[in-house]
Amino acid sequence: MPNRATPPSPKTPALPSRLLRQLRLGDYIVAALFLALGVASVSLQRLSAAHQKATQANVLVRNKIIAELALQSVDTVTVRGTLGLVTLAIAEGEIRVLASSCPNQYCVKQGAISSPQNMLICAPNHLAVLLVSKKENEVDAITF
Amino acid sequence: MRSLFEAATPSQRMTRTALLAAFGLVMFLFEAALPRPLPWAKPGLANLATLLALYALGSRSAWAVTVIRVCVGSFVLGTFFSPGFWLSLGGGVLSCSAMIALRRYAPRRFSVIGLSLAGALAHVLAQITLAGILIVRRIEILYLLPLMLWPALAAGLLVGVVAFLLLERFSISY
Repeated sequence: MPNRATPPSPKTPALPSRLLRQLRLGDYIVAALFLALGVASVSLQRLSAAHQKATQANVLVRNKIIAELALQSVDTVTVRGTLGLVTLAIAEGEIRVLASSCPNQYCVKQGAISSPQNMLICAPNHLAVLLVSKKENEVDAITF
Repeated sequence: MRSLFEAATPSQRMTRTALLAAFGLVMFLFEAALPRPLPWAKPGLANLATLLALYALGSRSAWAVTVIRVCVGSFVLGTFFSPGFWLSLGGGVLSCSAMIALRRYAPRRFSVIGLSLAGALAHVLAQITLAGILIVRRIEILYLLPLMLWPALAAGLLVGVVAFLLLERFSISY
């Protein structure tokens, strides 16, 4: 008796060929759209000025900047989000969420960020940390 | 062989919708318990329940399965009416409507893989838009887009393949 656990009968072709037979034009269009958006969003990141080294972190709660922190310092700062306190740690041009009052702790798990392409978000606290580079005090190049 | 989910009477349809909603809820809670290396990416296995409901029972069941899963899931997790809840609801509703629309208006043009991918894409777009409205009203939110899109592509493919296998196993016409 054939093994009932392998549907629907022993002589069906393998999964890849069964899948490929199913694919329609629309599937390829959706996949292409997905890839195009993925590539576009990556190039948006690359083309923007965001790859510059960040010099300052803006802490936003409910879209308002509540603190501007210089990234060169070594410091821990505690700010009040909408839910409770959030502690940020700055060291060597990086910033991370050290501790947060939120239940899921995704913001802590995001780790440290150092480039303006990244941001820290703590959704339950309506808190975001955006990195910016202040151009005026930036050196173009250093030669020795 | 008659399909496992083929519903003949309204009460059968209702109980099977409830069954799929419970399945989606379990997937949702299971994923919430999984450790996430990337906080903005998850497999979206709960979408399996929506896809099964859409194929086996129709669009009204798919709606019910999605909304019940998001609401009851947020009760269980304690996130009801938190920003995360609105992100879940927006993502669920938009991905569900995208899949329903494709199934209704272009039924022969898409397989379940394409529907799953479209659902994943709609989910990402809804979430990033809602995050941009509710949490950070800054254009910089778009920098998160690639971090969400690439995992969503993989997740959409995975869910599509699993949904295909389930439809095949339950002999639901697709």
